Amino acid sequence: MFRKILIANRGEIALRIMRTCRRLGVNTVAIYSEPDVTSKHVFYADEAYSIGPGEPSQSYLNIPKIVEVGRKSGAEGVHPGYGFLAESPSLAAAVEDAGMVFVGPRAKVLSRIASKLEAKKRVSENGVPTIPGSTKELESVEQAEQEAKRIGYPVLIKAAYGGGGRGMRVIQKPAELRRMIEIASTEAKSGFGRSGLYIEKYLDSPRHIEVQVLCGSRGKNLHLGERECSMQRRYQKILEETPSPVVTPDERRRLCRLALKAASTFGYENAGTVEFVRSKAGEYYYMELNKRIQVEHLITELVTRVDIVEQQLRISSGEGLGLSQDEIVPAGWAINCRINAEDPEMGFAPSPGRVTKYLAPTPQWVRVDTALYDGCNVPEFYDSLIAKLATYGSDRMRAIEWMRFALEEMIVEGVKTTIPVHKTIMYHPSFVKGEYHTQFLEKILSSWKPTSEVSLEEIAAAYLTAASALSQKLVEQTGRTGTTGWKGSLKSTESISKGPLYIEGL
Amino acid sequence: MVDIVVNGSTFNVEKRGRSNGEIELVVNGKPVVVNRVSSFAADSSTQLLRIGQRLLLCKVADQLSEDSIVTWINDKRLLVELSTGQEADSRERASLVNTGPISVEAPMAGRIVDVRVSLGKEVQEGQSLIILEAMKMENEIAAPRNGRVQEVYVHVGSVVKTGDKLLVLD
Repeated sequence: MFRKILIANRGEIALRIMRTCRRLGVNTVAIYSEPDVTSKHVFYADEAYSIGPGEPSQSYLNIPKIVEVGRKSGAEGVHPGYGFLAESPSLAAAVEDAGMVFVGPRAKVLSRIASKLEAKKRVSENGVPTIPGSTKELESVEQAEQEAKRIGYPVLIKAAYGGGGRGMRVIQKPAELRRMIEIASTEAKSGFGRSGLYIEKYLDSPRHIEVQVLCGSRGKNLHLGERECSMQRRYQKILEETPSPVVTPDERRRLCRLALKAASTFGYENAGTVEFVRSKAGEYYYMELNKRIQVEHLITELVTRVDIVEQQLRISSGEGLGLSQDEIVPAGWAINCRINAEDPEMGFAPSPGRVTKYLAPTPQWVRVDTALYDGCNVPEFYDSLIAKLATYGSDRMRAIEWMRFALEEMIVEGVKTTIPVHKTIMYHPSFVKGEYHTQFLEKILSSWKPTSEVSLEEIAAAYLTAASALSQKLVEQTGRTGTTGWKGSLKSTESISKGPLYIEGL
Repeated sequence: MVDIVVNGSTFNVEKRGRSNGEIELVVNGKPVVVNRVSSFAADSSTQLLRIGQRLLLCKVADQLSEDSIVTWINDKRLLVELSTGQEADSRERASLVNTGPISVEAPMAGRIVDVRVSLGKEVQEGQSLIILEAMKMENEIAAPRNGRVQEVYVHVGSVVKTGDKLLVLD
């Protein structure tokens, strides 16, 4: 096992990786940008180094700087977390060249899978079903028109080097094609630095289901079951659960076999996730292989009781995968809600700023992965994910019920969050039945308003508490008996001057 | 009669009367009878109320302004704002009569990735003026009303804080 590793990330995922390190006796090295100097991952690490200003390009994406800190601190490995440089062959190569180990696939394996289109082709040749579409990057609009005609509208335009819905467009009819290709190409260029596009058949109301794999050295590959990720907004996952409510045991065996086959196509190493789409008819198509630990890995940990970060460290340090397929027996159900600093009432606008109050939910069967604390700062430079709230139940309904309590108890003030949206989802009859797909959430959100679950008794109590506190304050401030200031409606004042107010003040 | 806003939802509360330590309230048209448990000794920011069979421990967690506080009602944390109808009316009226130049401010900290208007340009209410990138998302800043662009304070690449002036419409 490593003696010391550098975590090339921030916030909740850096903290989550460090926790496993601490448990295993591995010393941790944190890096941080200037606005992150008060981020919790910095305090949690054994050593912490500043690496530059808030702009990601000057800090968390600065490969030479990260490698320099790694070497200087004597780290033996570099864990990239997710996002930032997690799937970067350049970081992996730089780390290897500096004599350290990249906790993930080696650089040459990462480069093999860098192009989504190329990867899709190879997986398909290996006998894994893929969505019908172009096998080469688009070279002209005319070629796109031909391809679209061949596979049939509607079609999807995708960035060959992209992700997260950027550079992706649905095209319903031929007339839209030219304009959409221009938009997608510009987005891909600005988002990923490469404008390459390809075209695919667009599936209506599909489900997004993925399989967690762990690939050791010498071809020892195993899977940890699937995750259902169909609750999305603009191709961004909002909520995940495992197992999937629609996958039957037979289907699962087939799906997991396909996932391992896809991973072995590339000689994949370390933890990875094979994403599939499932059509309405129940057919699975390979979508992509994610070469990192994922945001939603925690629900797989809850049902399998496997610490995925520990296994990553074991594989990379050469100790080897400490598990066999027979030992992995998933039980029960787990759900994860992504809590983002966004304002759902303002079209999910980002809501960075100071968190004036944070209280973690404490019902049974809850796991919260977060770097939040009272008074912490949510910088505007980074992803809006501020917490992952997961619950576990012996069955799906129990996991949902615990989640309802947990969402009620979780308090985040100072920034707006997606907690109210999750409350709506947890009570939605279709979600409760497990019937949803990737376009489901946007339909709910078109007419969404936060619901208040406050009873009339609680309103009465809140009113009396507020009225006495506020009128008392008024007396303290002005020395008067409150007859003037108090908004007409709260006039009765005789006892206000007599000291403790409570509700007599009214 | 008073309007009370609890966690963003508005309720109507009327106080009917008080006898033998009992307070009669009408919340959204429904009567609620409240008793204070006087034997409960605590500081002045905490009180114990009985409503029907239920006991409610009420605490003032934080005072935010002259008319808003954060309370704990048992395990619920509620933001409570007291207001009267008149106040909202006058605020609304004030915003209507304001016809002078209006400055458009950054709703959040971030980086300007596009400025879609130039000096002297006429814009329509709702028209996209500026794209501000924050938290890896692109946010459109739209014109609050019709007008002509009088000043532009930012350019592509500017880094802004919440409340920074972006441009002025006359």
